[in-house]
Amino acid sequence: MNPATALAPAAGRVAGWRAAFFALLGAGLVLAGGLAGPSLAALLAVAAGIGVWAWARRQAPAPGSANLDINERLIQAQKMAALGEISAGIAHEINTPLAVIGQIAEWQEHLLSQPGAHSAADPGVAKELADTIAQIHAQVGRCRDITHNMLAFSRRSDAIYQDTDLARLLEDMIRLVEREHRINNIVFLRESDPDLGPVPTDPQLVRQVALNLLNNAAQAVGREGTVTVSTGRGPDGPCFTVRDTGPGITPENLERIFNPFFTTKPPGKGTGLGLSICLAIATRLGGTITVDSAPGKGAAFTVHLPPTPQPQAPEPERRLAP
Amino acid sequence: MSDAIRVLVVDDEEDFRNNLVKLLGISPNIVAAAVGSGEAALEWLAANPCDVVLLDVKMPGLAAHGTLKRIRDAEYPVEVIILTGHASVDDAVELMNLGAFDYLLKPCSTREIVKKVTWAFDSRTGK
Repeated sequence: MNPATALAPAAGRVAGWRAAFFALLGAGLVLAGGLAGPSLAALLAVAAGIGVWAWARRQAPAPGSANLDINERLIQAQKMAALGEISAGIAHEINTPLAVIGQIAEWQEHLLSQPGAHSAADPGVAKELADTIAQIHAQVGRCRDITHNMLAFSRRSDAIYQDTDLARLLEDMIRLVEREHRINNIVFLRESDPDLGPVPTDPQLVRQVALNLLNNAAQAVGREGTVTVSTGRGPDGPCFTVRDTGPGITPENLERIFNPFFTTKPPGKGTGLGLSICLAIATRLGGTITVDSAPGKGAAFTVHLPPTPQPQAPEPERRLAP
Repeated sequence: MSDAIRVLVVDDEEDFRNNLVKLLGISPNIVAAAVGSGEAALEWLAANPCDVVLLDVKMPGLAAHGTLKRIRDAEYPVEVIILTGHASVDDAVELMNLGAFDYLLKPCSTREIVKKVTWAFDSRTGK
């Protein structure tokens, strides 16, 4: 096994990537909005505008920003909160019509498969109809990946720390994915450190990380293998590891897996945002993620959490306290 | 499987629930009906036998949490699968802890829904 590759240096770049992500997403949304109708277009444009503006403000504070007026900071914090609500709302609103579009494509498929359905059209046309329906499914899938990731990004930005039973939290997440993958003979093993005790962290955010890592691990295994979830105490504080028996990660890819939009999955099968979101969340919590993998030897992702709640320097509203 | 699985779709989006009933009906072993709210679901369950409920999370009136609690309180012998466009992990965990069998995120294929409905039915009947 390679020594664990520390990715902390990559963490600094993540914030910049997120700004780029919102800018791209914003551009995409404005385009999508233009097609969907004027009212939605306006809403999307506002959301995208606030997003790009807010992130740009956070990424590149002006030289005198320490003297920013308190009112201005409050407004900025409120705009971030509004952005989160708007993106969650948009994602939710879009998922329902997407679901209906997918249903209609399925129904057309069904009609086309009925005996006698082809008699009216020549076989070439029937084949083309089937191909175009498959394309609708593929594009609905792409939109779904985007909206689901928007929801992950739109979560409130400040962590709320509480004593968390890490093993219990991981068990909840394993339950969400286990049944889905049992059919492919993927076994989920638990190895909890009984002496770990409560961990002061934000359970909502850690759940998101754990779920992403578990889904990735199961997808890496594909079928016939194990995913082992363990908790423990590292040199710097509590940690948990998701280890899979999949094909492992090549050294070239290892350097890029946390970059937004990097994916080894076929087009339409992944947005390449999962791990970048995980790292962004871990960083926000004051921790980091390390990965230990080599081709043919599976992969192990370890989330390191700080032993005590971290003051959140990047949150402007936190500095308002006297 | 000798008996058909009786499914109730609860969703305030009319197109979605009607399409789903049609698509579920393609499966020879599923009989589906639909209602538009949590309150209507409880009325329906009081009057009709049912095996699996597909429950939307965000609805006007009684949302998923309230509906699920009342289904459990009334001890209807049904499994509940959450079907939602709102991808909140925390909601999913909370509803699973309230006794939901599983959850699915919209949009998802009818094949996926049929798979989970079948699992839910099999687990309820102890197969």
